Amino acid sequence: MEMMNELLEKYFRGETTLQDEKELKQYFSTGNVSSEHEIYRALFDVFRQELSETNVRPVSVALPDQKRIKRTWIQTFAFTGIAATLILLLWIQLPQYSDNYAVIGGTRINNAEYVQRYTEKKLTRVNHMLARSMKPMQSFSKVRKNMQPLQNLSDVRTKMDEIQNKLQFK
Amino acid sequence: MLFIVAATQAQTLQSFFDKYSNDERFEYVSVGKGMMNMANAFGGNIKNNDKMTSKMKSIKILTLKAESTSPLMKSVVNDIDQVVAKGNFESAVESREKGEMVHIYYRFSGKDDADMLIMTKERGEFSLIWINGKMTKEEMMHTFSNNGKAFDQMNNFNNEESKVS
Repeated sequence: MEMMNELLEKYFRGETTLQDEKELKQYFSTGNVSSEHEIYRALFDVFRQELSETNVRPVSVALPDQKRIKRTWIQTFAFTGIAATLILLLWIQLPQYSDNYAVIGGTRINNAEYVQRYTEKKLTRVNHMLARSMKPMQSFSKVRKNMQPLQNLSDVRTKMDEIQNKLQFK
Repeated sequence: MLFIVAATQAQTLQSFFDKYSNDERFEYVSVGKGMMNMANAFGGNIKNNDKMTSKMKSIKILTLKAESTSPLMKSVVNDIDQVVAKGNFESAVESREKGEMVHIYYRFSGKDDADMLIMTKERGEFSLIWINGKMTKEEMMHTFSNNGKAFDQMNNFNNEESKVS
């Protein structure tokens, strides 16, 4: 009994060793606790209960919120980077189709120079065909141009008639 | 509404080109906006190269080399005649000489958005040239005028006609 008193005094002074505390816990866990020590039973029962408790919450929940947000951002950046790299690789690997191409005999030709020459040839051909067809019009225009002095002569004649009429009136 | 009508019209001509562009019996050439910006792309064929080519969006050329009496030629000509009839095209120039025929049609789909369709027929060859761009009627008429001066002659004639009348 005295030994227990000493141990309790040491415990409350904070001088007990682990072995001492073990002995105290064993003492209070058994049914042979003296009446004067009964008031401390509740204290050591709490210690015993705490020992039997297990943590049911996952570790990640216990992490501070700030750390979790930081990790989420890092993950987001990492996934975005990977996605961008994949898209870039696909874009480089995929064949590049332009609007300038020719299909001759069912075969696609992506040669810009060929396309350019083909187009030029066709447009020149149309131009020549039109020029030939419009040649009579050119001759007609020339005749009209050459007849312009005659039109001026007609104007002079009209003016002379007007003057003559005025003179006769006077 | 105007947009839907414009889209439908373009689709009809587009579907005609789509139908025959991959056919082995045809030659098809597509020139996009990128090549239009090349200053010398059309040599001396188009007057005011830089100005005109910057206004053009695309040129598509479809050529069939076959006799005019062949069933394929007849079918193609029939198809394009229907497209022209349904597509609100107006005839700009038509000329026939010594077995050669040139017919130029144009239409406006929206504000300055124009389609010019040039149909040429000569011995054993039928060609369709579809030029699309943001052009006015006058600009379109001047497209071919540097070498042959064809449209210039026509315009001069029209101007003089109007002066006389």
